[in-house]
Amino acid sequence: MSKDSTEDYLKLLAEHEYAIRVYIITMIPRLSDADDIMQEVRLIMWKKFGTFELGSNFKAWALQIAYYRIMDFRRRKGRENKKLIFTDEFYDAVEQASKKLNPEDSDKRQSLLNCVGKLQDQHKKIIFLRYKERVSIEEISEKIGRTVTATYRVISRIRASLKKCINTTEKAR
Amino acid sequence: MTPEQEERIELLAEKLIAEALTEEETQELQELVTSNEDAALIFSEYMQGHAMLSLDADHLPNSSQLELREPKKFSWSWLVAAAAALVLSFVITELRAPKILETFAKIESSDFANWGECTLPTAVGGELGAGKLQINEGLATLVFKSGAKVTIEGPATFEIIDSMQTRLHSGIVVSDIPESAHGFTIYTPTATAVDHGTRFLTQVTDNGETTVLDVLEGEVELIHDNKSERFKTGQIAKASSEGFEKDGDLRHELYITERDIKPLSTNLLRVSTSYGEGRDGTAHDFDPEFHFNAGDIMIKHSDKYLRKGFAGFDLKFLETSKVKDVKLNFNLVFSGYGSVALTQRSKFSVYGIIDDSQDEWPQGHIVLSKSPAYKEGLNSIDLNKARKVGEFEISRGEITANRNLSSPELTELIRHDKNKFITLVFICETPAINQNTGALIYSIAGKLHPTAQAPALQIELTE
Repeated sequence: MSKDSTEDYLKLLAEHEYAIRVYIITMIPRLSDADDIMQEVRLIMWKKFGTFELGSNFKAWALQIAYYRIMDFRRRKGRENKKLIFTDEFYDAVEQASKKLNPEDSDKRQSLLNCVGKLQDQHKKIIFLRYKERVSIEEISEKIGRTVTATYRVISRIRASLKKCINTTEKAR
Repeated sequence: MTPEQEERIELLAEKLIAEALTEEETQELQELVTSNEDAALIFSEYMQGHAMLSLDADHLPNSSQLELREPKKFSWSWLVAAAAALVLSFVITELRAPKILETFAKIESSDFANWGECTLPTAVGGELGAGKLQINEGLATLVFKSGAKVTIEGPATFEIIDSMQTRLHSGIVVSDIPESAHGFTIYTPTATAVDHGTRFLTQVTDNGETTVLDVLEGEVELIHDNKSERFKTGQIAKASSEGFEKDGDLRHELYITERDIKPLSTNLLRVSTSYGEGRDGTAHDFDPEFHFNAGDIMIKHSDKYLRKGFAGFDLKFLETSKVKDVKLNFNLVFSGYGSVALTQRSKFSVYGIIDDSQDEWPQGHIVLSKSPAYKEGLNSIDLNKARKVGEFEISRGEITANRNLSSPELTELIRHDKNKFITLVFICETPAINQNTGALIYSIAGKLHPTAQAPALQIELTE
């Protein structure tokens, strides 16, 4: 690969890497697995970049490669566990839906962080423990003195309120 | 879509993230999401929120000081309070030491281990969660919470999934499995070994295409290509794209000594910052002598005491088009400044300078605003002049370590560099706790370090 195309590749990768990672995690939520897939995607993109037409949609090209790696990954996993967790139809539905969302929009990223900042203290801390310190739901439930089931409900409600906050901020803009 | 259904999808999504869905719930989520587009969108948006929070975890507002429990709205009777206090006194020690990650194993011992790219701590006694360990040479023995004991023999790449499941990407491991850990599983790229009470050796060779299983004692099940077979003491089996091979004819000692490693050859070069015009240093914008070690490359994420590290390599003798693979090797050392207890697991990025006009900078002190690829803004870097070539992590409490880093980006950076001088920038991405007071300054040994080796590029050339 020539120096120019190397630079093109690295520039496009830097621009879209976040969106690609979000796309993978949306379908494969376990971060260590998603990281492995991202690694594979980067290698494949690198190898196939010669076939990519400059000026066409890099993100769409990258997401397609990512989609095949995700499908391959879940088949491998399926073989290991001797069963597939969700069907192809499920992943198709999620893949169609997630293309409508634009996580790489930098305003959206910033709104998310601002909205976390606006949460009430207890909720802010729960998000911090869950995402920054990666504390398990069981431990959080012990700490807040609720059952595990209630804790799932608390977290999914915090997340729903974050979503609402981001959407309101976006509309206000 | 009713609000109840929406809430249900979000609750199930949260359980999916925590890997806590039951079979019935999995089925339910499957049906909900495929039922209509709105449901798929709600689910995807929820999962995307998870992705964004995970990727931006380092930028979340630091909430460790906040109260977690809501104020009590009712008063306990004395009796209940006393009983609760009694129970609490048993668990308080647990609560005081917050667990950062769920751990599955511990490093029991290591013998002459030289670690490669690892996402987990490598110190003896280190508690290990899910993640990868790469060992270049030597031995390391892990004890899992299930009771399984695994010795990894370098060179090998081994991954912990949980206390009963592991993955061997390459190399050799020997497992001792007590009764408590029956069912302990080692996945390899071509097969799955499930223990049924034994001591066995697993080897992955041929770039992951072949798995060899040697049952030293007991019984192991090997699954390959949807076929499962059990092997007993003294038996050996090989699983590859050509299928299963087994029994006596394979049993000769060569099997274990046929390795993937290539001998060191003249095609391998090591260039450190001490060579030629090479240099290293620290950029910051305060009193140059303040907390400064001339032999260190110092790094800190702090709004007042920010430090970026630099390493420069002189490659003018090198025919860069012949470069096949490059590995950056460096040594973490103790700077002597700041408290280790005030650190958290931290993420670092390494950037390569692509604009050759930026390669002029002095050994030792570098003025931050004149440093290569400088951009205004805390810890920013000018991406027109630099490209990210890799990242690494340092665990809490990890002080001295030898690290390796490689990536296609690093190799390409060197292959295409025109002036044959390579500048690398080290940035800490995780803000320090108490960043303007006692937080640790991270150090990498530079070329003037009294004991540790300077950063080096290990370059492999084509024939």
